[in-house]
Amino acid sequence: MRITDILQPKDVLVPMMATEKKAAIKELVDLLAKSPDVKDPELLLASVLERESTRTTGVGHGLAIPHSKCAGVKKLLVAMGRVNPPINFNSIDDQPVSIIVLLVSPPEQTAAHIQCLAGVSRLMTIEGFRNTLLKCQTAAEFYAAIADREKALETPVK
Amino acid sequence: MFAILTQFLTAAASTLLEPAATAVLLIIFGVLILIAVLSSRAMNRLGVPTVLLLLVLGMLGGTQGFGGIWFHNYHFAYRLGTIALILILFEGGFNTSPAEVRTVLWPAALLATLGVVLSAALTALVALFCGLSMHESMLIGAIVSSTDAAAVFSVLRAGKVNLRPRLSRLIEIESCFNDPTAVMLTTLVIAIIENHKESVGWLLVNIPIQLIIGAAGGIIIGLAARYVLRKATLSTSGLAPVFTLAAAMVSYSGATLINGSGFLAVYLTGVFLNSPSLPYRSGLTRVHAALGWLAQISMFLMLGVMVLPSELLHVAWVGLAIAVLLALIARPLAVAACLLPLRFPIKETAFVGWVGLRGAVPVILATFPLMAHLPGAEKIFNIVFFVVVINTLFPGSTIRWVTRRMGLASDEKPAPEAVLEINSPRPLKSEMRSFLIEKSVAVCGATLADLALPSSAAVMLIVRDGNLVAPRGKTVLEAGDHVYLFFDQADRPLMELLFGRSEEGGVG
Repeated sequence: MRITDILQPKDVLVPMMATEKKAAIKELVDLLAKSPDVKDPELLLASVLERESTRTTGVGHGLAIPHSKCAGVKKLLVAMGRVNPPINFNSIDDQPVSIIVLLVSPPEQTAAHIQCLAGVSRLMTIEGFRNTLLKCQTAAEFYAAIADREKALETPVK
Repeated sequence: MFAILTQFLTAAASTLLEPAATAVLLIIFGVLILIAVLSSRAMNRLGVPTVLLLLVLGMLGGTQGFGGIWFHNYHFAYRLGTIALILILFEGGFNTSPAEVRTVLWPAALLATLGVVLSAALTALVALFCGLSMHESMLIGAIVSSTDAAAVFSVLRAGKVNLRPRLSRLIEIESCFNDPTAVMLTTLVIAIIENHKESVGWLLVNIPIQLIIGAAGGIIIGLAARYVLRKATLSTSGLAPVFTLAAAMVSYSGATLINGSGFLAVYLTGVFLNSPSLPYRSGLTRVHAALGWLAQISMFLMLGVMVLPSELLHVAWVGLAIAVLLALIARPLAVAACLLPLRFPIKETAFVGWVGLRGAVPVILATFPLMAHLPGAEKIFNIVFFVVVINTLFPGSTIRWVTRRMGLASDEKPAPEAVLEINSPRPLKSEMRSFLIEKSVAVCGATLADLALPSSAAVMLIVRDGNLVAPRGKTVLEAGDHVYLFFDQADRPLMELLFGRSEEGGVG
């Protein structure tokens, strides 16, 4: 499964306006809410925050992957953005976050949800790639960088 | 009926021969401790720190209470207090990782040095204003200048205040760091009062020296003890806590004997001894938690026993005034002077200023002038009692309300407790953790085959409604399951991303 098979160029936001965690999540939820696949943005936001309250999704190295399974969406959706300056996300390594990936799916698509989550996490653990993303000035560059990387990885991220 | 019984017990304690005399003493302490333990839950629900109950119980057990225990041996009190504090500080350190210390190192260090000196000076001014003599004021200022680890841990951890992690860490680490400064400040003031001019200058130079030696000694002993514990094979796991206890004692006394701060040393030994892969870890955590509680309970009971309520009345107004002014003016100002220049948010600064919990340390320090036979030492002891009570009661009983009110509660729920413990006597290369599956986490509702875990990770066991469930590919993870899994340490972020927060005390 490629991230770029799911992520649409319009769902990339560079730079984001938010200066704190909740606002940043809301900003990406609002971005997805423009799509007809999101039936209930409020329910979606609440469910992402609920997941966040069990344990932060700031996985370290400036990356956060907030996510949820929610009846308010019709299919697996991904939105991404970059905040500058980095914001506090209560990350596990206490470092502020610059790249945020929001991943949502309907409750019954558990397998795809987990695979996509692990895929994003694996892709982003490559340090050089994170630095490339941080240099991108526009959403188009950001999207292109992800697409290039996934192609370069030959074996697609599964 | 009760009165007759206690009269009998009191008479028995003073006239009976051994072994009855010891037995009577032990039964009084035993019953007091039992009451304290059994009522701690109710006290927490009421928002009153358990510490206060212990003081009252101690007073009831004392000369003017039902117990009639006569205990005014200050040297013994000092010794008992020191041992108790070693146990409490070690336990506090054991539950704090070096990384956690690092994140709040500078604000905590500033609060523990400059903050202590400032709040001592401001409190002395307040005392002077309340009509005490110059010497008495300086002594009181120094004695009550540090916050207390025992009270802080009892309020923050046992009280289930779900405070933002950075704030609770700062308050905890401050309380462990600042005792040495208060000890040295009190020694300094006594030297001034006794007019040892030559030692005053030396003591001032000595404060940073003691802190450096204490820190270095504590870290070295902690790392050495960790190394030994990982390499040595003990004949039985029961010896592991005995070993760590010995390390704590050696750390305190070793540092003290070579002119270092023993309290700082024992705290840092606790910090550096523990690590995620430490053998016997969960057993050690549990034993030291029990020792820490016993130390706290004994110390506050002892304080209660030592205080004579009739004497307290003489200093009631002065004591109250100093206590309230310390809480409302001296502590907040000292904290603001330390944290605001570090660009700490005003709200958090105000909160730290409010939570200036006092406790065992001032009481131990209050025995210093008594042991030095300074004039007015008894009066100071009683005033300190007031300051401790007020400064524990107010912040302690309001902390949950203030936390909520100021919006400083943590974004995350506290970690759930594990249902099953797995102990390893040897360090393991992989990590083993248990997770409580909440409805919102990604893996809830997934089959194990769906998980796509890395090859070095696997679900070992599922505990569902008290039943052990064998993990098969088709097994579906349900909300409320406790899932035990092992994984490579490098994969921990991914595991927490998929499973949520790991449980406390499950594996180690």
